[in-house]
Amino acid sequence: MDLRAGNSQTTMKQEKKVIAEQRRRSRILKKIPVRVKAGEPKKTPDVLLKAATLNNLKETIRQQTNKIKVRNGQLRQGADREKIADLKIEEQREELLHVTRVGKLAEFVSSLAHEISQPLTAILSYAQAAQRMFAGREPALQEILQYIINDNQRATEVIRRLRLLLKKSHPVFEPIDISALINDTIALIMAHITVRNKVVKLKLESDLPFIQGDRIQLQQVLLNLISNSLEAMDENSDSRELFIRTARKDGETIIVEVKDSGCGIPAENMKKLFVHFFTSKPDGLGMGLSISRSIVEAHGGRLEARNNPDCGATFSFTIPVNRKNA
Amino acid sequence: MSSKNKKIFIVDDDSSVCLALKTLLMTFDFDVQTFNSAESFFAAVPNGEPGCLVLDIHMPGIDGWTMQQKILDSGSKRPVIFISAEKEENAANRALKVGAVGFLQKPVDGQTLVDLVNAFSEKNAGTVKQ
Repeated sequence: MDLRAGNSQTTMKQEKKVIAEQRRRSRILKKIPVRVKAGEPKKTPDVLLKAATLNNLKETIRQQTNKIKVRNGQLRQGADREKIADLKIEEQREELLHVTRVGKLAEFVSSLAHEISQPLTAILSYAQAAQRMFAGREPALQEILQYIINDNQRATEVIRRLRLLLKKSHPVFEPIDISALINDTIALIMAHITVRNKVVKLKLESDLPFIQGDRIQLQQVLLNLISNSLEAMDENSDSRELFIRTARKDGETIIVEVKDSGCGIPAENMKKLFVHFFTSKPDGLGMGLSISRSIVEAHGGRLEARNNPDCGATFSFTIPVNRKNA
Repeated sequence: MSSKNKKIFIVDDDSSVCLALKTLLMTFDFDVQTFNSAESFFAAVPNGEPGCLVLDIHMPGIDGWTMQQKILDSGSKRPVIFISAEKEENAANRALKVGAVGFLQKPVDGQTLVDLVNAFSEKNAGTVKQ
């Protein structure tokens, strides 16, 4: 009894399924525009149904492909983000190294200054003692003693300058108009430029955003680059022009270039330019460029040098803009 | 002002500096005694003994600042002139604040040092505060 009832239920279910399937097919068929060209045999609904299923399949594939593309893009973005993070870590590591280097240099100069000051004290005292012992006698000896004292003072002055350069004062970071700073710096050194019969040409981009920096330190960098350029042009009276240019490097960075038409930098010196105590000048300390680089790097920028295609060299440094004013 | 027989003590850990300053000050007729540490100075010179002290700041062991404090604490009015090879911010002000009569940056000019010693060694020196 129950079996029959069960059988009839099964049959009903099957019938319902068939009806539902027919309805589904007819729904699909209605949606498909039947385009039959003249002369072509009329397509049977089964063919159309196959076409419809194929279309569905294609659509599904297209959707899946799009999804994969989107996911792929997301993955790529993730990888890019990771790369950027890596770069940032690398930058921070470098920054830390630079800060350490500046600190180390200051420490080194301070202990060097102390070590040299001690024997200088002794030399000066001995020379002054000898001068007094031979007062009014031995003019030749007196002259020599005076030379010793003068050179002692010269060495003392070098130490004083070194200490001043690396004075452990905390830099005061403030928004700075780089063009105004360049103009102020030129004003400081103008007499020097004129005496040397040189000309400064400025090409300062207007409406540059303010940068964030220590005015005195940046002025020190500019003075160093300008006086180096002037010295490079000293050897040749034909080279007279010094170019200073500012520009936006990108949204967040400003570039300052100091270009001369001097003797250029010999290839063998190029790598040593920023090394402490390296100098190609007879009376140079070899500190200017290494300190300048330390300052620029402490500001988050880079100081670089290159020879110009024609003659002379260009020193350029980048400096980040003040985010608040950018 | 005559320097004859005026006593100067020099305390500096650098023997070369001690000997050179002594040689120079002797040409001004000072009676000079040198020490390479604060410890050796305290061991040899009684508080009450008159004499100006030329004192280096940076020394191993007891440094110049601490030595000056010890001298003040002992009640001595000994004039102290600091000399230093270090360039310290406000060291000169600090020296005057702690009761020194002068601060000179090394290398020290002989005449300047002698003028300072002469200016203060009269008021002297070594007398113990009662």
